[in-house]
Amino acid sequence: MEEQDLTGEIETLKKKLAEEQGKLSDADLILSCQKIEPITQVNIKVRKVLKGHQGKVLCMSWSQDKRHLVSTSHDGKLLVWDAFTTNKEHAISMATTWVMACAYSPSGQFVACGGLDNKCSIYPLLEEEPVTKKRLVGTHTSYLACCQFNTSDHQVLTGSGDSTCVLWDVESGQMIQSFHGHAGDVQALDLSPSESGRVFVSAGCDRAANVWDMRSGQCVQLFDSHESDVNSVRFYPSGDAFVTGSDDASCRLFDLRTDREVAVYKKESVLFGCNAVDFSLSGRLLFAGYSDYVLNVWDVLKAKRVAMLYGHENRVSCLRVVPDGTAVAGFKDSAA
Amino acid sequence: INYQSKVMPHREEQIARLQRELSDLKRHYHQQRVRASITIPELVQYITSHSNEDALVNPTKDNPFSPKKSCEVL
Repeated sequence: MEEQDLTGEIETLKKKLAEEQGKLSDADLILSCQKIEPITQVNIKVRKVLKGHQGKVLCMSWSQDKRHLVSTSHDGKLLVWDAFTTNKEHAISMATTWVMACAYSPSGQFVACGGLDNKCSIYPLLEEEPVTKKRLVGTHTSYLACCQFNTSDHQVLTGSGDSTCVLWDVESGQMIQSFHGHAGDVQALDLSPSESGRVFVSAGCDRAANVWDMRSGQCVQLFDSHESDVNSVRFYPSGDAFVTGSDDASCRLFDLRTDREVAVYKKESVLFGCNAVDFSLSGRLLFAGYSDYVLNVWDVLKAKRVAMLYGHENRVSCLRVVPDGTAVAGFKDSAA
Repeated sequence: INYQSKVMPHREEQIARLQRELSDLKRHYHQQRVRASITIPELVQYITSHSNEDALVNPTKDNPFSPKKSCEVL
């Protein structure tokens, strides 16, 4: 009986929440921007092609130096690239395949990664043989889907197929905080650029994006308007909003302070799931990679697509704008 | 065969899960919200004030990724 009571209370409260959110919805993003000049063209060219992975590239992360990046693939390889020269600086063979998560540390000295091994491991790049100095950061009870360093080289935040996120201390391998609330596999996470170390957002196969208080481990906001798995999530550069990309072929922008979805980026002709999203430096452009081999570029303020970028032989599985905003790297198979 | 011991833990887990969902929802419900007429202009303002620095919106000549056109003196 208790279950039914709880379910009933939850349904009632969801309706009340929607009413409260509706009361403050006194402005519309797209309507407010009608007088702003539209983006008429996007001059983006493929400048570099980074070839080297044999298997499907599953994840990538830029270094803060704006020139190096790390990528990991389905065949268990981790590669560190100099994106200016296209040289590979490191090649590490992992003990696992399907390395779905990787992250460059803020100092540039380490990379963290993991996948089907359920583990997050860290490799020191300054060592002669990084693979010999590998260290275990933490273990989940299912695959590692995503990871990010939390403001320094000392803490890593992970998201897993076991539906939890965990904040780990790198030195001790201890769990600092765990985050329970997703009803399905976590697929992606992003740390707030403005509430550094205090807030992050995660998204997953339960169609939801959860906003978390890192100190208490509690979920403070939950948005579940997507109609299918949410594969990717990124904060808006100001930290006041975030965008998601989903298998429902749409990207959505959520305003944290007004506590609502404020824009949907979709088109009838865009039928395939979105796997990766990122903003340009100012937040004006939204780069979104889809399963139909295309990277769509959206004007965030007009909810209109302004460019389609091809250049990949297969679906775009991950993309990131370089920290100084001068380029976008998108991976699938081998090309960037 | 004692089926109860197999069924109960699942039920307890399910109830615990629902209780957490309800408390998360209550927390979300009670949070302070700001009117969209305030937050949206601020989102837009961020973009307009940073557009000049956004090389993918306003390309500059200073592109570290574009091919060098002339020889560098070493």
